[in-house]
Amino acid sequence: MTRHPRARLDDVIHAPVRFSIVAALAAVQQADFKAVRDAVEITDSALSKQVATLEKAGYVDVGKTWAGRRPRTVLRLTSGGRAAFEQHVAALREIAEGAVPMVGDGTDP
Amino acid sequence: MEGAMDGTPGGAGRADIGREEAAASLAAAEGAAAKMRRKASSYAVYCAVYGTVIPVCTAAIGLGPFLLGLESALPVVFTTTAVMLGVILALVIYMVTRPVTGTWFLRAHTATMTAWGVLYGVTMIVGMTAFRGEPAWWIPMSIATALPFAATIVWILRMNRRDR
Repeated sequence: MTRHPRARLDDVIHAPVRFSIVAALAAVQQADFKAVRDAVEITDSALSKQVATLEKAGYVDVGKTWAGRRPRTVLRLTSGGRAAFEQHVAALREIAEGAVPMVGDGTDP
Repeated sequence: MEGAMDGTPGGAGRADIGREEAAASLAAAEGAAAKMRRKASSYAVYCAVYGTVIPVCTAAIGLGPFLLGLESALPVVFTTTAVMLGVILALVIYMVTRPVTGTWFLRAHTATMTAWGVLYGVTMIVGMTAFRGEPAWWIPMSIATALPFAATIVWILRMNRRDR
């Protein structure tokens, strides 16, 4: 059954940490690498790895600027990333609300 | 395994997701999003400083020369304008160095500054031509120029309260 909301979940965003990163970026126009790291509560290296995956998928733009003399990495969700996130959230909400029968799962309505 | 860093349970994919897991994912994501939205509220500081200093300078331009008994308004105008430009420059630097920019920032800033610009323009043009040194014009109108900033601060604080 492809009509189940599970089929609309995005494979790239589905991983919990990546989902939190995308959710954090979807809430703002742009954010510093450190702000996202603190909001998601992961290490710099873990965030770098996940951001690289999201950038490769075309979901996140990574920019470099300067704040005074300090280099600054700025993250921004692309329009494609925002659309994928919204579709993913809609599918998760449907699953969480049990709006669609779970295939092969007799415990759900 | 990628799961070690992104939190994906070993062997579990999206095919296995259930209602509880979906709800937990949404809750975790909303928590991260709420933290980011709160960080974007630094614009309230910009509004508080701008909405305090600039109206005081506006009143000073209109009333200062008369309160100080000066024949020319130019010294007061130059001094207050220098203070205003210095404060605006400091606030611009403050905003461009903030770690998070809200999705609403451009719309809110445009609306706030447009409302302030109209009120400031009316205050200065009418005040300098018809009400020089008249407290009954300059004090209420200077306060009026602070209202757009006050309204924006209230709006930001209400947004933050909803996130708690």
